Amino acid sequence: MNWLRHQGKRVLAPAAALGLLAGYLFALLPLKRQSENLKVPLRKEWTELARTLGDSNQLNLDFGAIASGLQHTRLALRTLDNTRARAAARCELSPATEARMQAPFQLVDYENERGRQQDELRELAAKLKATLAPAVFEGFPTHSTAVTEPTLLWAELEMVTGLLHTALQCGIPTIESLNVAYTPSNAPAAFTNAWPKEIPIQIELTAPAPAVKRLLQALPMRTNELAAAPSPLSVAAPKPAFYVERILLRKQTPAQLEEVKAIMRVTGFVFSPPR
Amino acid sequence: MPNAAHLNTIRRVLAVDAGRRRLKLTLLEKHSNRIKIIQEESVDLQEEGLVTAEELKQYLQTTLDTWGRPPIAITLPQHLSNSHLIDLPPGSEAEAQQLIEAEVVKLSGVSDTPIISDFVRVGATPTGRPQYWVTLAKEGDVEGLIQLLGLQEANLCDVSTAANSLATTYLATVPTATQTILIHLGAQHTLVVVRHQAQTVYAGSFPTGSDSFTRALAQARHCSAAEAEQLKQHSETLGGAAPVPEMVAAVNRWAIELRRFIEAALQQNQKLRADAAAFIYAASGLGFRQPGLLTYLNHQLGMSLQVWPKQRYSPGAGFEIVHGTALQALGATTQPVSLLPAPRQEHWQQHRNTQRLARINNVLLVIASLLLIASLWHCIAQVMNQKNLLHKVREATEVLRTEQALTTQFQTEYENLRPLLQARQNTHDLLETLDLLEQTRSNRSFWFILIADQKSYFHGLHYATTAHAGATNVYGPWLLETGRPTATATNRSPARPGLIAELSVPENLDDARQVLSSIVNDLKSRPLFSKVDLLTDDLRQNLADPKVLLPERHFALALNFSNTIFQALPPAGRSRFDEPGTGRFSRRAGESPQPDLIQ
Repeated sequence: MNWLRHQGKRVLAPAAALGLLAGYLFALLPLKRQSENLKVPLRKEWTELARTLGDSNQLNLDFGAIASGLQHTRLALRTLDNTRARAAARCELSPATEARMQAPFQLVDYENERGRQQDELRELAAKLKATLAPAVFEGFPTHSTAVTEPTLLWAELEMVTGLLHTALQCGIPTIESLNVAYTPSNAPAAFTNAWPKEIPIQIELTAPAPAVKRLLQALPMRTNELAAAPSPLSVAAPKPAFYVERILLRKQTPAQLEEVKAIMRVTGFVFSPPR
Repeated sequence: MPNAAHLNTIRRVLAVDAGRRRLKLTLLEKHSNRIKIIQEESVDLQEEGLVTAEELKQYLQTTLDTWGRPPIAITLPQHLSNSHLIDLPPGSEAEAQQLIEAEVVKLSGVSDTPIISDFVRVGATPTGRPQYWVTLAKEGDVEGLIQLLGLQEANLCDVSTAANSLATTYLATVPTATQTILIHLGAQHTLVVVRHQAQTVYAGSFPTGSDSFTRALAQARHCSAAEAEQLKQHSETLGGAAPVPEMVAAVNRWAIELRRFIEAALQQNQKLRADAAAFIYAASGLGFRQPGLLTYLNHQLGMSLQVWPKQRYSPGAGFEIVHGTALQALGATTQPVSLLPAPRQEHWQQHRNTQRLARINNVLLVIASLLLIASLWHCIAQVMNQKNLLHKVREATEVLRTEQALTTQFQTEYENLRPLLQARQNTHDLLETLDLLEQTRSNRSFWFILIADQKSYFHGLHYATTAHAGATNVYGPWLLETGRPTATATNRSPARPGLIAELSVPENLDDARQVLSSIVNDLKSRPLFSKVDLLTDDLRQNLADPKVLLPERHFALALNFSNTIFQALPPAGRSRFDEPGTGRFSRRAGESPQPDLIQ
């Protein structure tokens, strides 16, 4: 034991020196190499991040701002989703139309429904002593080989009938023309396949100014809202919200100063893509 | 240079005093100026069975191992050495050394072995001649003792004579003592050291010790020496009821010899003779442990022997000499003398140098270890920091990518929804404007002839009056001037979001202008409009029916809506959206922010 202790003292210093050397060679040097190796990707990714942020001061990056930026973006997305949901609710089509849009398009069904709707409108116009010019019925959406999304015809049909029903109920005595054209919005090309789709409807009518104003006020309302309005309107056909895109009102004759001719382009929106 | 100059550099020493009957070992350690006895050991050679030299060597090696192999100092028996106080003429240390060496040659006489000597200056004579305490011994005797103990390979650091060691111990115990005669009664020799004026001035021994008392007792009792020794140590043989006459006679003989020896020592120096009465006699050695011996010497023989003084760090009884040897080796003396042979001095010096180097190496190793540990710590911390930072940067990059993807998604969805929002805003603005225009007519005599959005007004009306059958649901240009103008076209066009209202005022011209001003002032105060003013003539369009207007009193007003966020694309590539209500979602200045885009 004592011999071991004595020998231990003698070998302690060389062993310690060897240990130090081993520590330097096998621990410190690899760590330094690892540190140097880490510097390259760190510098690269740091610079890349700084460049992405447009930060001229590359020594300090505001990581907190990056995280909060993401939160703000998510908040904005949530706000937009809420907005979209509300907008979709206002522009929602009737369940029957939604179901027809989801089913394969059958021209015969569509033509039958279009005829039925036109008959109803004729009856309503006769009842209200209003005039619907033939051009109005000619302007109803029809199917042709140029129609790329025939299921949208159902939406257009509901919008047209809803608009005409509303106009008649608002006391419009003469509706001279109507035209429907699905067209992409003026959004950039990348968004043209996106939803909602705009359905612009152009209508031309002659009526007393109060009736036109009533129609304008009724356009953004849905059928149930019209019934609950201060001056309730009973519209038999389902009607989504319309928004006025273009308008021109002008007096017609000095004899009837209250009468105005109105040319309007109103837009409805379809949120649900057909199957 | 004196031999002992190499001392004073060690902290721990094992002193060995090998007597004929006992082996005494003491381990001392020096902490700053304090000497601490670590261990003392007195071995009875007979009792421990260390009869032969080999057994003694073996025992010593075992002890050295046990005690950690410290440096060793040996006590040289006084009868193997010679110490003298010599006067020299004044001169340098080198001259003194030369003279002393010459004197040593004279003192040693004809010798078959080299002489080892050491000296130390102890004072001066009244005439101013420096005095030196010179100690010498035969190198052969010293080497013989070393070989006897088997310490040839050990780290020998010092060899001290018994007298110098005894004087050193006494000085350490009673530093204030000036006139002292130290008497050490050993088994075979009696050592006498005379200290005068705090310096050792005489040392000598005579070959009579306590063993002579034992032999006398054995003779008287007809027993063995061992039995006599036991009897001597444990019974009163000098006084009491039955004193042993042979013992008394032996002690008397020893006392006479001692007196004669001391007398001879004092006779050597006139000053000593003068101060003879002032000396204190201090007794040491195991021989004085004999019961009644000191009493007998003091009372019956008229001697004034005092027991060895005891202090806190004094050695145990019988360890006075070996303790002094250790003190000499540690340099704790004012009169250092070393008889270590020159080759062993060199060896010891080399050993010391090696030790110093080893110590420096150790210090360097410790420093290097600390540096290595610190560097490792620093490197590990650096690598951890780098890893953390890299992870953070990657995480941030991922977050940024996610944010950019979400931003793109937001922009896409926003652009999809923006036409609806813009249309809704237009409708709202139109209805509000119609209400305001109706309000302006109250109590004023005028009528509106035409109201149109600016785009329709400036770009003309080409609406067909009859529908186009079968042109529905088709991509491509609208039959009736369909798509909205591009941003570039809008910039060139005078059309802004807003309305044009043409009106006729049936008053004289001045009144008509006043009416017009009041209408403009009413409307432009509304936050709905950014600008309300007359339309310049060059922009006027002839859309109204001439039959319903009053010439010269026909005016056109441009009602520009305030800008809304739905009229332009949001900044691309950024996701730093404003908080709702900070302007982005608020439609116009003066209106409360809207929490949502659709109410």
